[in-house]
Amino acid sequence: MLLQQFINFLQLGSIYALAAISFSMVYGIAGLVNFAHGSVFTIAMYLLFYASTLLFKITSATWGVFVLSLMIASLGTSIVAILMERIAYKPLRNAPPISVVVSSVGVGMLLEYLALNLAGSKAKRMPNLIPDITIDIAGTTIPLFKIMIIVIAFIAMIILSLLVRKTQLGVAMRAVSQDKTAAAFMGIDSNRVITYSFIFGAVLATIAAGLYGSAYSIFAYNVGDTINWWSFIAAVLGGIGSIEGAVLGGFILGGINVIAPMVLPVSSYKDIVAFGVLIFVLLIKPTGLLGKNAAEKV
Amino acid sequence: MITKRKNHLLGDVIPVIIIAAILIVLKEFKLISTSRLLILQYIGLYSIFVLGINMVNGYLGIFSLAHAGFMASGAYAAAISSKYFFKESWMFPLILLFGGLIAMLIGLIMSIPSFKAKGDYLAIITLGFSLIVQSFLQNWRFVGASKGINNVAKFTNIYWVYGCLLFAIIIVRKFINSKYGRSLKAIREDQVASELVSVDVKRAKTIAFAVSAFLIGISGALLVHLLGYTSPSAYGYTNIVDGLVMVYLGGMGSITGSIVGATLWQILIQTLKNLGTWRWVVGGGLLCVIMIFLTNGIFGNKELSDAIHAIRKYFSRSKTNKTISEETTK
Amino acid sequence: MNNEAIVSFKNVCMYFGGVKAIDDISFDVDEGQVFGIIGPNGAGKTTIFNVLSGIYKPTSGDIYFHNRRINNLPPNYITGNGITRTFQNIRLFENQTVLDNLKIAHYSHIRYGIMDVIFTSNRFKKEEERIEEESLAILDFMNLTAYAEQKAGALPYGAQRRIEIARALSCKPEVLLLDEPAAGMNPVEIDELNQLILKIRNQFNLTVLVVEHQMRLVMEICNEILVTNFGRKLAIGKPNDIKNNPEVLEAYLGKVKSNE
Repeated sequence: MLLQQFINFLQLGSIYALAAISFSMVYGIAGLVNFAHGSVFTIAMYLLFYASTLLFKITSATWGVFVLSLMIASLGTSIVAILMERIAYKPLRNAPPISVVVSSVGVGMLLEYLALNLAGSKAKRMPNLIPDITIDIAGTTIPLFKIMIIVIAFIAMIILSLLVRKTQLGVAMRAVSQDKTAAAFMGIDSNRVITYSFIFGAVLATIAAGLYGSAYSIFAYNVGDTINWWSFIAAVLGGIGSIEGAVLGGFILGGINVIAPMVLPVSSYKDIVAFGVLIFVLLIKPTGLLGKNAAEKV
Repeated sequence: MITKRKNHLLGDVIPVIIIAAILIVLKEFKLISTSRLLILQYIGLYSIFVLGINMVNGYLGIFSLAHAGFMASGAYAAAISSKYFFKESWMFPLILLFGGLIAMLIGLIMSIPSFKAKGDYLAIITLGFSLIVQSFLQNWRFVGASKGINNVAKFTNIYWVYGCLLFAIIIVRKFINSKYGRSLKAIREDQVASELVSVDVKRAKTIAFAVSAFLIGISGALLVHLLGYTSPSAYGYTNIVDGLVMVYLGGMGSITGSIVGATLWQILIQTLKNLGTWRWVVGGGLLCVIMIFLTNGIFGNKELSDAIHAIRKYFSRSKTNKTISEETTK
Repeated sequence: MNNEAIVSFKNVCMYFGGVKAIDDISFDVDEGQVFGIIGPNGAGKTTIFNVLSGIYKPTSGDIYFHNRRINNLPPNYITGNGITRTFQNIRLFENQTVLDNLKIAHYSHIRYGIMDVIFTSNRFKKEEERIEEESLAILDFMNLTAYAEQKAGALPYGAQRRIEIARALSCKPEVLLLDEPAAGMNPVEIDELNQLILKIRNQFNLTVLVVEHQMRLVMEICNEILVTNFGRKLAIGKPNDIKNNPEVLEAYLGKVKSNE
C-alpha cells in the first residue's frame, strides 16, 4: 500500500517534473510565459496517438512502436514549436513582455481548437505504449509501466542536465538566459539559442506526453490546459529558469496530488492545497524555492 | 502655455444621452432581434469586467489573473442574495451592490500578496487564487457544487447593464484623475522611485485591487441575472483568457480601450458563432496578428479624447501648411 | 550627539553578505548646511543615501532626523516627512508629463480621501487646484515651464536632471539628497548647478546633502565634507581642512591632483 503510493508519487512527480522543465526551458531562456506550451503537449498527445495506432497495425513490437512514435511526435512538435516561435514571438522580441504573452494565448487557443476540429471532441484512448506486465516488489504487485515511466523520466532529465552543463550549446543557453545583450557581445546568436530552447521544450513535452499517455491513456483536446498550468506552477514554485527547481516543484506537486486525497475528505481539494502551498512559498520566498533573490538596485 | 482640460459637461453628457436614446429606441421599438440585443448586453457587461481588470493590469501594470475569482465571487454572492434575501426586482441595485462589495472584500485580501511578490510570481499567485475559488465552488454543496445555481431571477436588462457601465466609467475616471490614479501610473513605471517621492504604494495597490474587484463583481452579478444560472466551470481558464484578451486587445490603461476591446471581442465571438468551434481557431489567430501589428493594443494608453485632439491638431496643421504652400506658389 | 543636528548617523553599518558597504559611520548635519559626501567609487556614498531614505534598513546603528530615530520607517513615510532624494541614474516617470511627475510627488501632503474622490468634493477640487499651482510655481522656479506638458522621458539630459530636483522639491522636503547631480556636466554647467543648489537651499530653507565626484562642485558650495573610503569614514571637516588632510590626499585627492 505504502510502496504503491510511493510509486504513484514518483510517477506523477516525474511526469510533472518533465513537463515543468520543458516549460521552464523556454521560460528561462526566451523569458516568455508560453501559454501555448500546453497546446504543444496536446499536439504531442495526438501525434503519439495517431502514430502508434498506425504503427501497431504493422507490427506488435511495443517498444519499437513507443520509440518510433516518440520520434515522429517529437519531429512534429518541434516543427510546430519552431513555426510558433518564428511567426508569433520573434516579431515581438522588442515589444513589451505582455504583448508576447497575449500572443502566446492566441497561439495556444489556435492550436488547441485546431486539434479539437481536426481530431474531434471525443476522448481518445492511447494504445499501450509500454508492455502490460506486472512485477512483484516485496509482495506488492506493480505494473511495469509505472516503473518505466519513472526510469525514462530520470534518464531524460539526466541527459538534459548533461546537455546544459557540458555542451557549448548549454553554455550559450545559460548565457542567454542571464543576459541577452552580454551574450550577444560574446558572439552568441541569441535567436539561434532561443530556437533551440523551443525545440528542447517541444521534445521534452513530447516525452512527458508519452509518459502521461502511458499512465492515464484517456485524453481529449484540452489535456494540455491542465498540464500547462501545473507545469507553470511547478516551474514557479521551484524558481523560474532553474532546471533543478522545476524538478523539485514537479515532485512537490506530485506529492500533494498523491497525499492530499488520502488526508482530505474531498479529493478535488488537492488543487486548493497545491495552490495554498504555492502561495505560501511565494509569500515567504518571492522568487521560488531555488530561485535567486535579486536585490533591487537603486 | 498650459491649457487646462476641464471636464466638458457638454462633451460628456451629450454622448451619454444619445447612446441612451438609441438603446431605448432599439429596445422599446424592437428594432433589433433578441439575439442582437443579447450581444449588446454582453458588450456592456464585459466592458465593465474589462474596466475592472484594467485598474490592476492596465493602470497599475501588474499581470494579475485574479479576475475570474473576483467575477465568480461577485456572481455567486449576487445569486445567493437574490435567491434568499432580495427576491423582488426593485431590489436589484442591492443585489448588484452586494455582489460588488463581496468581490471587493476579497479584492482587498488579494492586494496583500502584491505588496511583496512581483511579475510572474504574482501572476501565479493570482492564478492560484482564481482556481482556488473555482475549486471551492465546485465542492461546496450550498451553492450546488459543480451543478451551480439555477433558476436565478433574470433581472438584468439592457438599461441595468448600460447604467452600470456608465457608473463604472465615472468611477474609474474619477480615480484615475486623482492622486490615487497618478500613484498607480507612477508605480507601473517605477515602484522604488514612487516610494521615494512619498507615494504610499501599499495603499495605492489596495485601492486598485478594491476598485477592480468591485467592478468585476458587479459584472459577475449582472451576468448571473442575465443568464439565470451560474456554474463553476464558467470561471476557469476560458474566463481568465477571455479577460486578458479583451484588456490587451483594447489597450492597457485606457477606458476607451477597455470598451473597444470588450466590444470587438464580443462581436467577433458572436459573429463567428456559425463557424462552430473553428471560431476559436480564427479568434486565436487574429489575436496573434493584432498583437504583432498593434503591439500595445488598439488604443495603447490613449483615450478617445486624445485621438480627437490629435485629429483636430492634424487638420489645423494641414490647413496652415496649405496656406503656406499657396503663398509660396504665388 | 549634537542636538542641533537635523540629520545624524550614529555608528551606522550596512552589510550585504560579507560586503561592508558602510562600516561604522557617524556624522551630524546641521540645519541649512550644504553637506558633501565624497569618496572613490564603491566607497559607500550612495548606500548612505539608501539607508537614509529608508530603502535599506541598516545592519546596525541608528539614524536620526530631528532627533527622531527613523531606521525602521518605510521610505514613503520618510520621504513624505522631510527627506527627499534624487537618483544617480535619473529615475523619472518617463511616460508621464513633467507636470504629472511633480503632481505624483505631492502625494503625501494632498489632503483628501477616497470619499472626496468618489463625490468630487470641494476639498478635492481645491486640493487639485492647489497642487497644480504649486507644481507650476516649482517648474517656473526651475525654468522648466516650457516642458510642463511634455513626456519626461523625451527631454534632454540636463532638463531631466532639473526635473528630478523639481520633483523632489514637490515633496516639500526639509532635507534634499542629491546623488551625483553633476554627473556628465562640463565646468560651465557645474557652475550653473552650484548657483542653482544654493538658490534652492535659500528659497526653500533646505539642508542639502550631496554625493559627488566633481571637486569643482563640492569644494565651492559645501560647508562641510565627509570623506569615505571602502565604507569607512576617512575624515570630516571644512573644505579647506579636507583639501589639506594628508590622509585624504593620499587616498583620494592625491590621485585627482596627479591626473590634472
